[in-house]
Amino acid sequence: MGISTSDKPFLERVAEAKQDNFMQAAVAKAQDAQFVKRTKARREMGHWNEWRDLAEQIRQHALKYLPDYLEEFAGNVEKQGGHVFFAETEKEARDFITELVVKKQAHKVVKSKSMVTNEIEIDKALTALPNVDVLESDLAEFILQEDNWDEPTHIVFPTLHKNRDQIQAEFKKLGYEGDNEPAHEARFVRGYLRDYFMQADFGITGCNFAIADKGMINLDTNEGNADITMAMPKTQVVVMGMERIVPSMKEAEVLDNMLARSAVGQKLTTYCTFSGPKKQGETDGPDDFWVVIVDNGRFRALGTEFEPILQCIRCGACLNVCPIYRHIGGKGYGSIYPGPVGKVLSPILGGYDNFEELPYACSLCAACTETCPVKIPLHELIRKHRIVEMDQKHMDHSMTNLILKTIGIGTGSPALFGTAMTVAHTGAAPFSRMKEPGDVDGMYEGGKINHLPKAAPKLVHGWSDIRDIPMPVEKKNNFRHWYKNHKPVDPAPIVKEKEAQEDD
Amino acid sequence: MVEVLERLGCETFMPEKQVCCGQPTYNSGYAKGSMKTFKNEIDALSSIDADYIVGPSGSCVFMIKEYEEILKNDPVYGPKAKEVANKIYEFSQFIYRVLGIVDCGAELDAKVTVHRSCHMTRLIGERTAPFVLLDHVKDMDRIPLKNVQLCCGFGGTFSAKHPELSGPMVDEKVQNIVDTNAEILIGTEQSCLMNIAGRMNRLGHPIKVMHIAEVLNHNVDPNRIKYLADTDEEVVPANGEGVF
Amino acid sequence: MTSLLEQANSEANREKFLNRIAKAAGRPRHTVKAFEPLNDLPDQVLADQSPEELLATAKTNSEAVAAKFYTCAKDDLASFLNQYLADIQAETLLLPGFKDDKWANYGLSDWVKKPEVKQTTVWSTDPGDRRKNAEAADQADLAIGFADYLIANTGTITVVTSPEQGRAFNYLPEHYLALIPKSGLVRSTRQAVEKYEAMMADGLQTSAINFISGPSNSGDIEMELVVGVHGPVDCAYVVVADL
Repeated sequence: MGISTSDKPFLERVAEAKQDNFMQAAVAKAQDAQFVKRTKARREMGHWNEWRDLAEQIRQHALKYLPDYLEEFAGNVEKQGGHVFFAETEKEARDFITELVVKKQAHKVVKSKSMVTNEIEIDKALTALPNVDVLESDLAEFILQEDNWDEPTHIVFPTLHKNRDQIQAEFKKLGYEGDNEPAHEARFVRGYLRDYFMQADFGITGCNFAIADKGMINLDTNEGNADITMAMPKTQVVVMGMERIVPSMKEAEVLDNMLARSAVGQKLTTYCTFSGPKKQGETDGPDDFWVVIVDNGRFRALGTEFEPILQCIRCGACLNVCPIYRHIGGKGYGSIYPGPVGKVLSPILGGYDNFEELPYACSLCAACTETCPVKIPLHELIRKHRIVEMDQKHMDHSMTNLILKTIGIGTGSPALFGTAMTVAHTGAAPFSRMKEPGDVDGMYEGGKINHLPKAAPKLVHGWSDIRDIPMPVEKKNNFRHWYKNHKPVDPAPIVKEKEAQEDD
Repeated sequence: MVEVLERLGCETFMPEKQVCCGQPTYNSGYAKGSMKTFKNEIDALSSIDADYIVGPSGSCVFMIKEYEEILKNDPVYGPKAKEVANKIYEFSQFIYRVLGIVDCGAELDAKVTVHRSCHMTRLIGERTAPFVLLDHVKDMDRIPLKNVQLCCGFGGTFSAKHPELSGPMVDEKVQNIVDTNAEILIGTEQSCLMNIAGRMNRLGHPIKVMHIAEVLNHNVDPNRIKYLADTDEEVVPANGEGVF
Repeated sequence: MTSLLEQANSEANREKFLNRIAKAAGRPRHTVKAFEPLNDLPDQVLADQSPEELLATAKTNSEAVAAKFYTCAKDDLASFLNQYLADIQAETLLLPGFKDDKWANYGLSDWVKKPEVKQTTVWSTDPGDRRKNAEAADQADLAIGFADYLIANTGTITVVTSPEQGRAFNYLPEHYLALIPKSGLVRSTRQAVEKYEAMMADGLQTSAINFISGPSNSGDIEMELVVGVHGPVDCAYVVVADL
């Protein structure tokens, strides 16, 4: 499955998402709340667009010299007694960690939230081992795990689709006796997880940024679960996407500020930690520190027009502004990376065949591009995927394909276009009716089309199923005809006055 | 649009051979299939030695601006595309930023709300000019539209290809418009208006739609026309506060 | 099956991977140039504030992240801490295992011998006491520890992991109180990072640098803010003057 979360077709997933009214309301509410918090936090920072320029520069620099910085980082981890494994595929990463758990004879594995560990599906592999328990320690991930590993809806707020009552019911199975207050529910989890943390012998974390010149990793959380995951077990494995590198703590610090403001409207996450293997004399932290650096298809973006997607710092702001995500939530995408970032990343990591539809499920409104703290031109990359699919891979063989190709020919020739305009009015006549009282003024003065035969191509009835179409105008009433015959309006007196002044 | 521009002192020309900017096919992934359309449009627009090119829809204007990047390696059309891109403006942007006009002399005694098109605000980067111009229209009562930043769900062929996604988007937009109790919806982009009006009509909300050019051409008293320089107003930055 | 574990830290594993991605990118290896930032915004954060203004900003921003903010003169610190213990009704206290000179510096030489609380545990610096320290931290009502810096712009304190004050010390106790020298007041995360980089260049050995902004929290259930998930349920900063 890899990054796929479902083998159902895209439209089926969307249809399911649209049934979930609580989820839709929750996503819309979250987007509206984050809109206020995020813009406030960014305004407060001042010079927001210059900060974005800096963040973009940092990410592009790191990607440009990616092999060099990874080499430096690996060398510095090793110098401190740590171990680094470069995994080309998700399977290599998964097998490596599984082998390590077996070798260490670990029984209680604790994880802190990490997208890349979902990518390599480590939870399933480890749970399948005899005498090994795995527990997600992030509150939201814990809730999903206890609901039979339910799919996340959001990369920062994975449980947006669940309400407090559902969570209460789920926790009852674990012995919770309290009410549906989030504070009480969270308190219960604190106790439950604390017991587990105290016994944990193997910790798995992700990595927000890897610090090349120090061989340390930088993690941002609000709950503190990543820090406890790095404190208690004697063995820690860090799983990082290979692009999560920065030259030094200075660049990480800039990105930490950008990330927190963009993701949750905070200035910094509650815990922002730079961490590595236990040093001599310290009594806790990882004796054994392992870093697994994962490619898993990211190389396909390197050196191409899609490289900017590797700048991503996983803040989720693009999800929070996306009008499509607003209505279908994260599950509709069928990828562990939903929203605009997912539309760009999923076909790269998971292949065009699996995610063919995603780039088209977008109105190209560019809200994502505008909000991205590291200036990824998300909507442009979505459009570039379309160009790859149509021009290079020729993936569409439907009527839509034929129609659009024909439009391409028609709009490339003034003569053909003129004919088409004449035909349009006559051709649409059988499906049209005159403007009626109660119709919107300013749109249907020439009549409207509101019923089409079922046999009409999808590209036409896809529109008319939910909306009325203004009747194409007759040639004698169109703009070109009007323009040719119109008498220019006189410039206003003050305009003439200004022109006279300028001539002087 | 033509009448407004002429009243403000512009001499207008309409190149006969222009057809379409090519956005529907290009944004659908047919880059190769769009080249003929792009080149025809460039030829048409360059056929007249105009100082400026003005369009009534931000998305078409932006597509034409994009020709420069798309055709940068074309020895013939590259330079021509650049020239066209450098002199093209969206209608309200042109009036406010190039002509320096704040009041077009129009009057509209109505309660209105304004839909802000995505391509104009985010890609051209002009999010304030239409509001400045509309706020000078006499007797007009403009009600702010909730979640004005949200796309209406048009998105070109997206709206027809994915009605299951576009539908809820336009429904939410219509609801927010209805909630303002406005009599008229004003837009800067004909395609958004066609989408929103199409849905309003289907749902039975007969709110009148007007393009901003129609509003600025409504009941005009030429003596009310005012230049920014003759007021004590400050120029409003195109991108507002620049934080999104 | 060949062991993947043996491939860790091997040149073969690293070189194969790095050569492959360098080839994919179409850029040769070993060409890295130092990063030259295009602007100095990180250095400009709160650059115009005087020390008094910075302290006021620090208070505002600390309270905004739900941290309790106090300033205290060195001479009053012992009685302040006893009062704090009483106020939160702490019964078990965890203290870091620093030698007396550190305490003396804060005027706490006497206090540390007998804080007014039922039971005091001192973090053990014996590396064999990992389990014992973890249990003490888990059971402590309050930990009183030392922080290096207070960042005005974000309401953040910074703490390094050390043999005397380990990781669990900062994360497991129910309540957390950090003593920060007034001289540790800095403007921004950038300033704090630069100080740590300098200290590490001078030989500071630490496995973790922690930037902590208030108590642990989560918005995972219906985005309603819940304070005290996993880590401390509250967090106090005490800025100590006249050291």
